[in-house]
Amino acid sequence: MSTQNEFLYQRFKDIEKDDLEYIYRGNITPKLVMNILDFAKSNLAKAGDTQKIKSKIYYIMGEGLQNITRHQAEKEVSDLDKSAIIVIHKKHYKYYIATGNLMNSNEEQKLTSKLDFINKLDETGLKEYSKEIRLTTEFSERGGASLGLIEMAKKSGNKLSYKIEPIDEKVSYFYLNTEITTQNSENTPIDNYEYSLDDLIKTHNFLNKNNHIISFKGDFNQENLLSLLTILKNRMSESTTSIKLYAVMVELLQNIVKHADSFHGGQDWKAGIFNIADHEDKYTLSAGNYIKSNSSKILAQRLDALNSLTHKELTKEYNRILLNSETNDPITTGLGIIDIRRKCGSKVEYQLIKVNNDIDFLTINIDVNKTS
Amino acid sequence: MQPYIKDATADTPQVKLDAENGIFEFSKMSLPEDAVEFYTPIINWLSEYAKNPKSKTEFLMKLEYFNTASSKQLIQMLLVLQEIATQNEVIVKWYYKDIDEDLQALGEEYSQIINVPFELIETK
Repeated sequence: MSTQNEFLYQRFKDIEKDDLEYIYRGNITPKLVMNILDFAKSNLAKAGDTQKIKSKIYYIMGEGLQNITRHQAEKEVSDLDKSAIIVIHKKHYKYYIATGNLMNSNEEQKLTSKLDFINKLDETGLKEYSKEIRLTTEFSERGGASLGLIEMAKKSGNKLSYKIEPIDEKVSYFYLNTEITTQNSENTPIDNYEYSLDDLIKTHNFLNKNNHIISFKGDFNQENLLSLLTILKNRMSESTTSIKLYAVMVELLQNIVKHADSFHGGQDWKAGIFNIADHEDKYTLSAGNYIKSNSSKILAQRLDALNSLTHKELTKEYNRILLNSETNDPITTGLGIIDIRRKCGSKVEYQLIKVNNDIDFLTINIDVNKTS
Repeated sequence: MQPYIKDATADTPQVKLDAENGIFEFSKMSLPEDAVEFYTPIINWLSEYAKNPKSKTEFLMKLEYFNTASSKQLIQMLLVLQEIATQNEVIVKWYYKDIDEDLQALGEEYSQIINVPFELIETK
């Protein structure tokens, strides 16, 4: 199994209904913060939490993301490995907002003492400190002084866990992880699950190594698809490549929306995982989902057949399906896959991993070459 | 015939079907969850128009993007136009951005399989 597919499957295999993981790695602009918040909002709308908890999560997310745009070291980051990372992670009743960004090393001392101070305060202490800061501190050019962090601690009810890793003598990398527990303690089932700072750092290192820029795991629906497309659109300037990438993404994700088997927890959601890697000469899009074994055999045959066609034969097959008004489902006919092959030239690489006798895990990888 | 007008959404196009002037226009994006559901009333409207069309019909294809599910519906609409074109003048104006080689190629291909004059128009 390739590292890529193994990564997808390992991250995916314990998925349960309402689980969510969204990862973005790159330069964070205020516009992108809005996109990600919109995305979170549409996902929160469906999750079974109370309105109070939803607005809390939304608030903490906003503060956490704005912290990056406000505080990230202001020098141009040309190296993607040093750009920011955002992880929104939900498992069971726990949400995690985890971020990482470059900071100036000379601000390290100040930030560390501020965070340590905040982490020592209880609820009342946080309220008082928040009031004090509001009254006494002049708003710095960084905006909002340390209010953002105080509010995150206050609203989450948890400590802000952080780690600072020096990169060179001038800049360091700052990781911050906030847990938001979404149920009252008396209703909360005993569960030791935790998304830790180490998980965040491990993920970040893996993303850096494999050039991953966007990743999503959770319920695939049209709304999430549109949000992911908007995020991609705002990341890239429009070009022949970005247009192709957009088209391939739509076909791949709508494929999951229509045909994925959720396997766990009913049929009213479509469990899937999607990933974009940004390599020097190409983008690689990967999608993974459960599929019933009997459907996966048919699909595999169809993919093998389509992969063996020449460009001319693909066009012929495309026209045949296009003009056949009997079959309207472009996916079982493979119209989406033909379209992808015609646009990208490369073969559609796929792999089936047997989960049990009835279910396979399907991954599809597609390369979109960068054109000048 | 009443015009058929629909505003664009994040995943459905702006549609303006004007029977009075014989001008039909599709713009923005088309990637609905259910393309058949979205396009069926439009194809029905066009079939109704085809019974008594204007002497000249213009089809302005200004979609910036359509998914494969929409492309099947687009072909169904073009087939209705092909019917009209046996008796009346019909032209398809196919707009594409200069950087969008795929949309340009589709316009060229569709002009081969549909028996209606196509004008391919490059935009910035």
